[in-house]
Amino acid sequence: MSVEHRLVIWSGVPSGSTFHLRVTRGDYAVTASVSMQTATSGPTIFELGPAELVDQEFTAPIETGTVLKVELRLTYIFPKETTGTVNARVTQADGSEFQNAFTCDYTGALGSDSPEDRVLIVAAGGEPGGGA
Amino acid sequence: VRNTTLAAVLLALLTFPAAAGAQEDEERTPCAATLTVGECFRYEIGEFATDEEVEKVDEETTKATTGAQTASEAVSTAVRDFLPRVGAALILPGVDEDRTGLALRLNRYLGPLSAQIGLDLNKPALYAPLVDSIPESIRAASKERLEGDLEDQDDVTFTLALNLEAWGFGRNLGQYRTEVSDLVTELVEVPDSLTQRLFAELSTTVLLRADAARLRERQSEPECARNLRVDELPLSCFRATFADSLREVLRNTAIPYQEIARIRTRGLRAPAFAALAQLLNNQRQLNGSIKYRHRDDLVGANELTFNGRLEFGGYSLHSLRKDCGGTLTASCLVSTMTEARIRRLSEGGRWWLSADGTWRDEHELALTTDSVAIQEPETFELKLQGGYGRYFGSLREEGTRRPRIDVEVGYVLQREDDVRVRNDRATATLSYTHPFSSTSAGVFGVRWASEPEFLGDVDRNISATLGLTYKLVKDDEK
Repeated sequence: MSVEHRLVIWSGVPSGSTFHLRVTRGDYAVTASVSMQTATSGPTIFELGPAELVDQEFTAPIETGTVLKVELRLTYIFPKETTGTVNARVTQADGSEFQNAFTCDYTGALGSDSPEDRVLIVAAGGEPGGGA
Repeated sequence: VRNTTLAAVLLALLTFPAAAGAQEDEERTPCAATLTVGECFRYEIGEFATDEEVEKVDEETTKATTGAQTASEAVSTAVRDFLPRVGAALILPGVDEDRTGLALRLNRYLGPLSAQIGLDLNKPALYAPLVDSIPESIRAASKERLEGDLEDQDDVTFTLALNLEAWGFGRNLGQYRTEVSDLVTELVEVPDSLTQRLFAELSTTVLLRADAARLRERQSEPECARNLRVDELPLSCFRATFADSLREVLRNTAIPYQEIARIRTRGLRAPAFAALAQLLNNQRQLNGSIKYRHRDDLVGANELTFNGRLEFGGYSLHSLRKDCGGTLTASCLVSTMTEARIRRLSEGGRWWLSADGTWRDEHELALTTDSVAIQEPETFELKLQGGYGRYFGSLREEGTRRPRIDVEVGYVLQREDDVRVRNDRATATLSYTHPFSSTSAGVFGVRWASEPEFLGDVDRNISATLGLTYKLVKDDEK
């Protein structure tokens, strides 16, 4: 059984930027655990599902001191091989993309050797007082 | 010699803990500075492979996916899935079949039905019996002249294919997607404390500092370029002390992440979870198609064909939902899918019924200049068939490489100008497939027909065949 893991990190994201995450609709269960921490508050952990990640794009504001961590899981629920696309990116206040976007196609099938894929995503703002 | 061997075994046993310790030490080797942060993370969770290993896996995968999947699947007659054909046509409109002509396909949902509407412009060719009837002395010249009269639209086929995808029919997951998705989430749930630990190990301090710790002087180099994300950068693009902090964070994060993976994998391996795939595969199928081929008299007679097929696959997702009071839940799945029921599922039994009909219009044509006339009556053929197929043995141990048996009975009716012709017949086939290895299988078949001439042996009512199939490409061993 092989499960593919990926780690994606943006660091030094300029204040006023927005994190975007979307997964294409397909025959897989899409779930994510999220930890959101800002310069003024401790981490808040919450769960996301298809309503937030597939039906629409999940977005989160990134400010100085913000650290957003997302553990995304695609669990295949159809016996035939299915491909899903995960698209994550960070856009700056002026709409331009900050560093490279992350786009990856994942393929698997229920009951196969590849029943699940996971992506650990981080978007971190600049360090408070760090000038970034 | 015996004493030397014994001493070697004892020495090996005595030194085993030290060797195991050395192995552990080896596993703790920090990831190389040339690896990217993303690769280092995968290395820490034991997933990163070298380029050579990746190449080897790619090569094996390519070999395994060439040709038919298994020898025994090739003779599986009871399973028919309508959906992939629709999908293939969607992706490659007009080029889904190897033929001369132009094919167009349109896929649509019509209420509870998925439909495929097709139009085929076949390359018109002169009706062969017509050409053969022309006197040989003028055949070549007549053929050339008649072919010149043919138009592109002289052989056109219209097709409508339908597949029911509601009320427990069809393998389209759409009608169950939300429920199955929730059920899967519940089955592979990880304790909140572990998720919290994962996020805590992914040090906020280090992540906030990562961008500032990039070596500015190396940002002009392509591998350390400014537009690359942190995970795309080799560790050598960071200050050495920071790279060490990063390594430690990745190593610490990998520990709860591996534990999460273990819990989820255990859930994914649960027999009830594995049964989900088979339950969906067992959904009842009802599909049909109607095809009308319009031809010019020079090309042939007009033809109308239809096909209908009903298939039952035993206990299905629909049955489970009914047994669960209308809603699929993980607890209901686990309690309902008993060991005995899972074993029955692995038999993959299928009952099916089908009707195929072909009506051919009368074909009358007289070409006085070519001294030829064709007069063929209207014909109709109806083929009614039913069958059953199943596997033997354990699905878990042998997969689809198991013996299987298929039984098929049918009746063929033929009419010419509404008059019964002698060709009406009943047929029955029994075939047993025994796989010897991943590449070869033996097939034993017995066939009976009420009209013996259809067996190819006029003296008997039953014919038997024995065959051997062999695949040149070896399947991936499972």
